[in-house]
Amino acid sequence: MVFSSLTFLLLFLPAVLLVYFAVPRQGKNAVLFIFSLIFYAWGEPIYVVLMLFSTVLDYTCGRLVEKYRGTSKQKIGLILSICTNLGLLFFFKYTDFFIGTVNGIFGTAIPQLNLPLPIGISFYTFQTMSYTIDVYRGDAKMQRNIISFGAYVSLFPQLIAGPIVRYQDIAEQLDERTHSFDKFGDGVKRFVTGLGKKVLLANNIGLLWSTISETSAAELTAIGAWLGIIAFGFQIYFDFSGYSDMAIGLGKMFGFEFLENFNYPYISKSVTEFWRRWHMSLGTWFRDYVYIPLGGNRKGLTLQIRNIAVVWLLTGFWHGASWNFVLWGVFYGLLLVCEKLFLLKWLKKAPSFVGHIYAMLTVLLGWVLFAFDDFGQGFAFLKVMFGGGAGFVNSDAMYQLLSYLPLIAVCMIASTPLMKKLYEKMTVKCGEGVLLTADTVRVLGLSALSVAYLISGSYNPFLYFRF
Amino acid sequence: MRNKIISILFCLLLAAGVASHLLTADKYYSESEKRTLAQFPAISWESIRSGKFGDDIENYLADQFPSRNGWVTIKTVAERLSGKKESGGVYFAEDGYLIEIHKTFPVKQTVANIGAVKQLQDAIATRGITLRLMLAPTAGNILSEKLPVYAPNADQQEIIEYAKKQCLNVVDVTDVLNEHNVEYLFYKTDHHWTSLGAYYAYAAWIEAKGEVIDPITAWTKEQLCDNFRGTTYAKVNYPFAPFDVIDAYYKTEAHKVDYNSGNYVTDSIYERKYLNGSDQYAAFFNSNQATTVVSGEGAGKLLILKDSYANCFAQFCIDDYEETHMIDMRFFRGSVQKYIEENGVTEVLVLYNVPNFTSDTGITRCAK
Repeated sequence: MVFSSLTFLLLFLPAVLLVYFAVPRQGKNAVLFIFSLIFYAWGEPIYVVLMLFSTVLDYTCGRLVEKYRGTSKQKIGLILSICTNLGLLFFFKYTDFFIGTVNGIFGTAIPQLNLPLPIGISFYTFQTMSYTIDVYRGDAKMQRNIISFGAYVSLFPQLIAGPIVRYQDIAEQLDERTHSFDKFGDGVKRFVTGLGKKVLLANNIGLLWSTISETSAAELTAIGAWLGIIAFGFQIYFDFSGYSDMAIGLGKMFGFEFLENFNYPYISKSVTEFWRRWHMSLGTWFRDYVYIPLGGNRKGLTLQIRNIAVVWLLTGFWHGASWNFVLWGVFYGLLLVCEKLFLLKWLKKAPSFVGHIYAMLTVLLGWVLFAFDDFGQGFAFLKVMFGGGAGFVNSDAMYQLLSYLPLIAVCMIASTPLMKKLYEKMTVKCGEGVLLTADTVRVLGLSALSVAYLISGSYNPFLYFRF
Repeated sequence: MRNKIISILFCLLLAAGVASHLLTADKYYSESEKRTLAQFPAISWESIRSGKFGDDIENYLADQFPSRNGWVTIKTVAERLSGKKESGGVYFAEDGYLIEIHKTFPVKQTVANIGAVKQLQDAIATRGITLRLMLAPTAGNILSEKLPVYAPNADQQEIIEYAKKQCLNVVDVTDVLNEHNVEYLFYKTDHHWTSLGAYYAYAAWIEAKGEVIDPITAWTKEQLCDNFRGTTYAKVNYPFAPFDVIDAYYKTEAHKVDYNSGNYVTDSIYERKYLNGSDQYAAFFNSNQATTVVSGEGAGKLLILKDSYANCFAQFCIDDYEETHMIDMRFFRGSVQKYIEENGVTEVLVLYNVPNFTSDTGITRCAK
């Protein structure tokens, strides 16, 4: 199930809220666990088994780590957890990719498995691994209650599209969390904002991208291609950060505080900054569980560059089992190394708009790599962007430009902290009445508009089926 | 305090959503959208396992959402405000025109349909029966100046020219419609041509046959309604859309009309009961029927293979023939050649609007 659906808004959410707040505190995690399994099972019931398996396994691994702590067997639980989780991820997500690659290189004809990818597997295997690692390192206490642990693994707000919540960040909240109107109200506002970002901005600007990406390179103009990739950039940002907003908002309604996942990435002035602001929970995960264990930046420049390379190969690969994602990761790895070595120093001296233009251009080029699985198509698109298509502009591109200019302007404003700052200023200067009106308009307006778009059967894709 | 009110407001919204769904009865058919609505899906292990049940529930909730049309209106107005020049497959054109969007036409079906008509034309030519093909361009082409600037719009004339190249006996009505395109030839909120538009096409057809054309004043004009909002309106539910006027033209109103071989026999081609509903264009020849036979005072028997563009066109020709037959290939399951033979048809007209002609899968059966 996805948040931006009538099924979620009209059936699931009212039901889970009602039951959750009706049961006493001891039962709340069980309610979350059961409803989360239903949420997950909605699309593909079979894979619930996988999630239950993952839950039991990592719960056991946590206990094993604790039991053998200080003995020679203390690594058993850790290794078992990491191997099984990576094994699951590898089996479901990458087997066909490797079979395809092997077949391509050696001319063999090994049949592919053609298994549907369990939704969210990249998110929850990373979360469950973080549990065992955190317990092993002593960053978190072992969870004794398997229901509470199950609630953590399957927690529906962040189950299918993140943020990736590290166990250590949420361990205490699992057992002890408070509920208040204050938190719930904040959660509502956050959720509705996320819903609006997804349904009103991402889906609509996504229509422009889907029109343009379906146009053959021979008929596409430079303006059309740039317009298209800008649209894609906005679509993936508002979609992804909208999901994170909805997750964080829902978390708050149920008393949780998740860490932020996006921090206005499109205002960045370098690629380094961009990745500090984009999908922060993934960056943090790789930093804590890969980069730092490999030695991070403490073992000299050569090893640091190797570590960056490893992290970015993995980051690329995490986004999908296809070579274009690997290339996308390598592209960012190279840029980050260049920035580390000299580029950041140069950018610091230049006026800030130079850094901003540089960052946005590289991010857009990155999205071209990201958007096309097929290298041929991706490079044809790049060629069109730089004048190798059907000229500079044609009437189709003009029509798209004129039709979408206002929406692009709205997306640009919504990518900056402008509205947030305005709201913060209001909280200081305005009275309760004005603020209440503003909040009410925001909640009512965004939810009504979103529902109107959902009912009218507009374009509403789920982008993370490859993650 | 503020968050408390917001919290309660949100819970009330959710409750209202659930309650309104539970309290309103499910509908089977949407008259304004002209389609059956999704019903609560049957539960089976197989449908749950495959995820079909989940999709069906989502469609059910969307289709049965209380005051669905009102929500569509909200979306349309929001799209207009956001600068979009189209919504739900409709262009917002000048003068309040809502014009269907056609960016491309399906090539394969077009070729198949043209081939089938050609086959029929050749088959009946051996018996001395002439077939003419009239492909009516729609508002998107005749009123293309009213479309938003740079709006992508497939050229319907290409289809007409292609038909001519395949040696079909084409009556090209584009020029005469273009000549009169400042007049009220197309409804603003519906994809059909008006009776006036159909008259000019009728005149071009009479001219192609080398016969004498009556001026439009030869018919009595009667306004059937002035509050018509048709198919393109239904797609957007745009509250600021204009209303259309539907006119009837007749020399004498009394004609014996026989639908579906005696299924329903009446004495007028106008079914006025539709004028009180939302589908007023259906007043012409009782919406779409598989076969229709109208008796007139003229000579010869005309067969029109047609879509709904012929329904107001036929007003003008029924007096020229002893019988005018109409077949809608979407519903007719017999053999057209046999029908021609059995009913002593002396002349055939194939009349479709271009977009329909390129997509209707029933036309290929007319060769049989």
